[in-house]
Amino acid sequence: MTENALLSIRGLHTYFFPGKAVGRAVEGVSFDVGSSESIGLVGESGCGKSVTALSILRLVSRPGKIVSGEIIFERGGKKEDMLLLSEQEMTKVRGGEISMIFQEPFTSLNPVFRVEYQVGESAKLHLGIKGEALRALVMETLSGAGIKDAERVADSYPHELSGGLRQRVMIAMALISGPKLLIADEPTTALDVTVQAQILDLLADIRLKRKLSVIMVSHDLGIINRICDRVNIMYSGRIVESSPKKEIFSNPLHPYTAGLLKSIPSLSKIEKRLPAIPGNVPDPFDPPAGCRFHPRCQKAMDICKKTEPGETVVDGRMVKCWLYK
Amino acid sequence: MKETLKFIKLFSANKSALIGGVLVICLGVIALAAPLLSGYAPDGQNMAEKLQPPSRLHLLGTDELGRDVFSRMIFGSRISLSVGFAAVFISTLIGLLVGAVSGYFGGWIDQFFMRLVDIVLSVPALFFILMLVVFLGPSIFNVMVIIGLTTWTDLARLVRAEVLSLKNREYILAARASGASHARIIIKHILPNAMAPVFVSVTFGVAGAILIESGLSFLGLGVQPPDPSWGNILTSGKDYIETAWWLTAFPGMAIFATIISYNLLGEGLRNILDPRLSGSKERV
Amino acid sequence: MARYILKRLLLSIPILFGISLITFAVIHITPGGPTVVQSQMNAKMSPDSIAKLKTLYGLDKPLHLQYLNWLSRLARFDFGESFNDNRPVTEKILERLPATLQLNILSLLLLFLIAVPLGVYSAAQENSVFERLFTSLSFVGYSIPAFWLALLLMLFFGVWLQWLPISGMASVNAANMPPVLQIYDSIQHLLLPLFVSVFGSIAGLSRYMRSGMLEVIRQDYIRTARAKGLPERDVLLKHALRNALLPVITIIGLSIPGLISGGFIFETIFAWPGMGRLAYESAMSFDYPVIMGVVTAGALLTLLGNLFADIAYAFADPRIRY
Repeated sequence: MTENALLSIRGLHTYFFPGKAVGRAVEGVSFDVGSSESIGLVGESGCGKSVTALSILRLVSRPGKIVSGEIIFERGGKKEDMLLLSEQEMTKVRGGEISMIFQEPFTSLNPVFRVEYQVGESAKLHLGIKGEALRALVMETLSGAGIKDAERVADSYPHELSGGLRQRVMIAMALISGPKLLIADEPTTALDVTVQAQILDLLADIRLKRKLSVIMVSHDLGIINRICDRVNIMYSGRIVESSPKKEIFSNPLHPYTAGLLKSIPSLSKIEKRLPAIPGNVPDPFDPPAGCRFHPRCQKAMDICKKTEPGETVVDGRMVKCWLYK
Repeated sequence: MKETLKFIKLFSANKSALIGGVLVICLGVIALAAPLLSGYAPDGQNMAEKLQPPSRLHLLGTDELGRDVFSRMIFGSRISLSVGFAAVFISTLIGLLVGAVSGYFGGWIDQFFMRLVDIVLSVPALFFILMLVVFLGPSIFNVMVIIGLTTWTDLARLVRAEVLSLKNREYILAARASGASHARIIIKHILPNAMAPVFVSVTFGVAGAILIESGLSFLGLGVQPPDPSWGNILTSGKDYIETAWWLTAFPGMAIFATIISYNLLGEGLRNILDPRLSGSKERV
Repeated sequence: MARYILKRLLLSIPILFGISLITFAVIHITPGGPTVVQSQMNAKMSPDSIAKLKTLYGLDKPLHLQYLNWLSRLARFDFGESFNDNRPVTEKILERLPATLQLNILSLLLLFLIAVPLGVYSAAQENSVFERLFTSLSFVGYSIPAFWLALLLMLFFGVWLQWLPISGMASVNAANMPPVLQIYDSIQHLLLPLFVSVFGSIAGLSRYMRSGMLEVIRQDYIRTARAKGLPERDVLLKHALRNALLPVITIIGLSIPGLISGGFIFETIFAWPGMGRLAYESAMSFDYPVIMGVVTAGALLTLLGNLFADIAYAFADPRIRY
């Protein structure tokens, strides 16, 4: 699988060092993203999924630091470890080959620059175009992101736009330089439900048109269902299950995955109360011993409290759980 | 009790608070122990020894009337510190009252006080103080009162903002619903929760008041000779700048040291009491 | 926009009115006064001549009439005449304004040019040796009394090294110098006052700038700018700086009152003939019309300065529209 992967992450560790404490936000994450493949990264907030996404672009800010691991990305026919690139070389990757969109369209755009400038900035940098050609490309990309009156939006400041429009602007900004991989960090969480659906449709559409690889980070399996080929479930800094989409919904392996699935609201079955998983995500500064999930797991056994489970392959799917050893 | 322990722990971990706190205490001890440390009477003239440079006899030299500069400075610290504290006491009282009443009642009361604050802020404060001192006559008492009466605006604004954010909290509404009087709600429930910025502002305020007092005394409008003050020793320093450098260097250093101590303490307190500025653990 | 400006100007009228009323009250209610001074200086002055003096100054009329009279002259932009030399107050103020403006505009410019880069740089170097040095030094700058710094500099550069003149705007014989030397001479006179006035403010503004930058750097849009592939330099100097500069505009507006007549202590030390010194002199000699004029003019300039700052803010920040 590593052979034809566009991106493969191996043993990524990203820690936070505020003062003397160490917060193990990402601990030993490995996964691949194939060409034109869409991968979901799912878990509750605080599980390390956003930090993993930020680590790929080396955008983790202090006191966070990537401690070890490999992030191999295919650039111009060659496979290179992003963690070994110079900062200068890294700026070519960011926005040029790998783009990222964020959760909060309200705060992710710079309030003092017009949309045209902010969207065009990336193309100016990575494609080296300017003037009329740049403006034309900005308009084309904005239209491609489903913005009908591109001219007006281009001349606006972010605060003059609705949340949905701003997220479309973010998407245009991410796509303008023609990246191969798009990382979307909870791109619809801050939006209204109807707008959410539009943005997801847009992403699904763009992905096919541009043959884009996507890493979709979300806490919501419902969103993942609409857009991803393969799903990685994260818990407490680790991937605990990695399965093709269909199978994860029909037959979840890890008890945590099963718990997440049960908490998706469904319109067909009207239930009194969503059975949420009891308890909280572990504190990355003070995680429990053994399997990180055992204090919340209904199927926990004695071994779960003492030893952390390794990877087990079940029908070509990966799971970390003592139930399958 | 637990709160106090936590505060002490944070305080001793904060470098600027610790250094500032220790210096502030040292300065206070020196002022209290002035008669023990000085060796000369602060106003003891000795024309035979006027304008002597620092020596073993007179550690920091003598002034134009042969008075021992070291002794005058030590006694001067008593005056400067008392002016600082008295002025801050007055301004804190006014600031708290105006801020609390303004924020709590809102409406025209708030409008009135905030316009008053606007007016005070549009007048160059130092000049207004100078004018008041000239017209009321320079004296320690007048200087204290005048500084106190003119420096309350910042605190009033701070307290008002704090009260505004507190007054619709559940426990305040509950107190009101149970029939507590306005005064009781303000004093018992609101002000204690708005104290953090007050402590910080008091600390910075002492530094500010001492700076103003020494400036006024330097111009001959504050503490009047023969009472010693850092500012009025500096006046001699300016008059004898060509011959007696020690009259400029040492009293100024005392003012500087005092101000920097209180500023350090204030900065430290702000870092401890304002959680927005400290602790990055939450941001992971 | 025009409506907003008009509204602000109208709103400043009651503030000016309040200021002049308070100043007037202070002047007349307090015991000190010009007749007191003159009778102290001249013990032989009879009660009769004191009364004459009061009539001359218009101090015999009821207070409210005096104030109304002052107001009606103000409406014609007339601040009255000085008690001391009988010259129009407006003339005296205008005469002092250039020296004040020269010093303050230069020091504002220098302040901006030094403090902003310093603050930005120290924010970019968070937790470095430079930043720690900067924090300690800025504390020193923040806490050092300006008048003492002025005295120290006079002592060092004027008395010991004898490099620079220690008072005034020009040498006594400046008028006879060739133009080049005249400029050199005035620069020499300017250096120490300029240094003192800039030094104290650098610490405050650069600390402010630094915390502003640190605040902005944490924002989501900075992460967006980095994710775009902008080099850190552009992230800081384009995306962060524009946002961090916004509050500085307000700070400069707020610092105007201090600049106009708060500088009287070191204007007095350096014998700099500016507004601050005029204010000081007028207060010391109970020159009522000049005091009223200086306070009102100072407050007016302050209010205008704040208005300009708000307008500039509106131009710099697209989110604000009046």
